[in-house]
Amino acid sequence: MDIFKFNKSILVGAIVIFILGLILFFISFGMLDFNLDKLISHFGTWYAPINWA
Amino acid sequence: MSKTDFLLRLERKLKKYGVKNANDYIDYYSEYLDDLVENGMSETAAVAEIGGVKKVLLEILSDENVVIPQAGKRTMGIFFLMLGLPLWGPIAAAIYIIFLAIIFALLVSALAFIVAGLWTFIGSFIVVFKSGIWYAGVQLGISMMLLGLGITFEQLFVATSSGLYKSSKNIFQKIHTEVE
Repeated sequence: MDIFKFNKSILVGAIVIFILGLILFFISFGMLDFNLDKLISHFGTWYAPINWA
Repeated sequence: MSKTDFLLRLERKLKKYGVKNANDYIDYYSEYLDDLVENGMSETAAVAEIGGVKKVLLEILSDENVVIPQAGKRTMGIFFLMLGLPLWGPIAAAIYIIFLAIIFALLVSALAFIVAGLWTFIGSFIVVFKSGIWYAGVQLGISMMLLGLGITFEQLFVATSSGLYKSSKNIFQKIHTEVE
């Protein structure tokens, strides 16, 4: 299989890998019990606590 | 074939071959056919007598009085093409460069995604021991997404670059044969 020539099956394989990765990411992320509300309610600055008040 | 039919076809052929004095020949053959009909022939027989459109066309093209301008139009065409070069040249160059830029962007994206994907893929095995299996799962998922994108972009790069190469080759070959 020559990756330097256009090959439809490689392209399909790449998309399958992407989708599998996406699924794996969401499952693993779901298992970690991150509090998403807490993460995004600080405009992404949770790692650098800025006192807005 | 009737006389008018014959003359119309002959006129069309003469125009196709760029004969300037086509009317002279049309008049000549019209009179010739009239003469034959006056002598008692039918129109079809008269047309058959002089040999049909193809034979007459050959006779006219090999006639010494025939006027066919040699490649005049083509020279004018090339002249106007050169005259318009400042106008269409930059536009054509810009379109070509846009395609090159898209291909370059695809290549850079593919390299970036693949390098990042491989790096996070290796890292995910370290994360298994350092942070736990689900953290590693997140990282492995991200690395798979990056690798998938990288391979997709690589394939798009290969397809577009070979497409551009082939079409450029075709265009230059066409220009080459046109000039010859």
